[in-house]
Amino acid sequence: MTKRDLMRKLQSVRTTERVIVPDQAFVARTREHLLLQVRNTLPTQPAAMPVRARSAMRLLVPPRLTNLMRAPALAILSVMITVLGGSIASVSASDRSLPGDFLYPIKIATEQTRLAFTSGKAERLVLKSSFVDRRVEEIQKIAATPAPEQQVRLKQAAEDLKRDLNTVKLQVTEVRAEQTKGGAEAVKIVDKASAQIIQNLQLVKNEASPEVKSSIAEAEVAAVHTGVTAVEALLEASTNPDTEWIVSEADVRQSITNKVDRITASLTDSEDKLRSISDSSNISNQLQATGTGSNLLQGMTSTTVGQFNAASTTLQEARTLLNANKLSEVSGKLLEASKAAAQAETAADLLVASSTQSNIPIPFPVITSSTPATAPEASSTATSTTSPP
Amino acid sequence: MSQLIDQYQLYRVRTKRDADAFSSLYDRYISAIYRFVYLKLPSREVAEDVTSETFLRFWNAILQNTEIRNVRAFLYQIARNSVVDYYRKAEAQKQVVTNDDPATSSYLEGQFSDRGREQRVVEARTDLRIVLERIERLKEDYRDVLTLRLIDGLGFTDIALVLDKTPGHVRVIYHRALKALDKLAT
Repeated sequence: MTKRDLMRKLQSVRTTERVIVPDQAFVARTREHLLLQVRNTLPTQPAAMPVRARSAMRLLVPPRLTNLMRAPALAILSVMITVLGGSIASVSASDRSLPGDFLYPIKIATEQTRLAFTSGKAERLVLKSSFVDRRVEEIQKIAATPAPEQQVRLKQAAEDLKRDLNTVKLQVTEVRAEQTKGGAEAVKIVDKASAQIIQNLQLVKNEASPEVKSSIAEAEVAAVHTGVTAVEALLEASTNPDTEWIVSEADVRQSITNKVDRITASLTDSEDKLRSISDSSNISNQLQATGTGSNLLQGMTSTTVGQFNAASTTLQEARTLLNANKLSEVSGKLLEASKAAAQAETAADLLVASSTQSNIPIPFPVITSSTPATAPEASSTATSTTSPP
Repeated sequence: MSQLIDQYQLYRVRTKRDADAFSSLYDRYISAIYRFVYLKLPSREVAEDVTSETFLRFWNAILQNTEIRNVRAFLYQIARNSVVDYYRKAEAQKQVVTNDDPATSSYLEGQFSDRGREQRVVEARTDLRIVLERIERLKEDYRDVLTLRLIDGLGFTDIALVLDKTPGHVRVIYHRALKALDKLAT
């Protein structure tokens, strides 16, 4: 049978089919039965909202249009989900990233964007200050997690922190110059934050390698500068009757006192370190210690002692000014003292490292006494004097 | 327009609980469905039973909130399945009685014992049987599209809805199936 025969037969079937009509009695009977069934089972409660919405939608939108629109609509939706979802996920994931991580640049870019969209210098200062806190947290996390290139990442993080602290310092200067509304609160936040940052950095610095130590020390000095700039701004506001900033002199004084105490405590820690090395030295070893190594240590010791003395003297001067309530002069002295203290600490660290590495004890007792401070209301910590033999 | 009317009736049944809207749908399609199943089944009584069964299943689908994008295509799909089910049941009963070897479960196996039918109908059934025997030799995709298009007389869009394919894909399958049928004939 050919295809033509087949088609002819089909045609015949279709023709026959066309004239077939159901029996009217059957149609009526079935209709009646069905309607009875429908009425018996038809739900009495109104249709649920989704069903009504879907039915209305199908009624209003032709199925062909739905088919045509479905593919492009899904494509656009997928692209939007990918772009927006991906961005949100990336930004969220980058929040936990650390310097050196793949997503870290996204974190920094997000911060920059947030800063760019923040109106008001005081608000921007507060936000930037919170980002500086993040930098310190990053340093702490890197220091606490042994990983390849840990020291390199620490150094990089410390440099980033130093850069951000310098930015904060500039912002404080701007806010101070313009006496921005809400600036006093922002500067107070910076003042408190800088003290906390210095404390945290000192903990990390103790465990770092000498190279990283110097970077962290630089960041620490930047934090001190920022803190002193904040104090200066607050001090100016406390003495200026025309400003809208509400700052009490007592608050400023307390802040300066805290700073002096912190530098003193830091200096005392370094002295203790040196004293422990000196105390543990055997007298006979000290007497036998001769040669190049010993001479070098002797030179280093003299330098360190000189720096400790300089720092102690400056601190003492700051304290005297504080006692005399010459607050405007204290800030300069405070900066000087913090620099001298930082130098003395670095020198002490180097001395301890050299002594340990060369197995040659410090050739003479470095620390002879520690003199309590003369300003009872200003400090609870002792300053110390160092003296060569 | 026809589809819009169908969807409106369906909307009334589903949201307004309007039983008369369902009876309107019944009136629109009863003759078409009856014609559709008539030649595929051995007798008028069976055709009437299958037609009733088709509308009952349609009503159950509405109750279950089944998505119905095209009422006509949906009814043809139910009718087609009902015919297949009829032959499956008939085959099962035949096996219980005679314990013969199983045969294919399609409406090819129908017995042409239509008493009192006119000669023309009997001949049409014979022709249909011959055509279906040919089509049954093709692969499943071709067989379905040819049956729906040539025997059931559905349009490509309706066939696409029944087989869950796009109309373009159905057209391609149809033309390939015709070529395959041609090769089979030669």
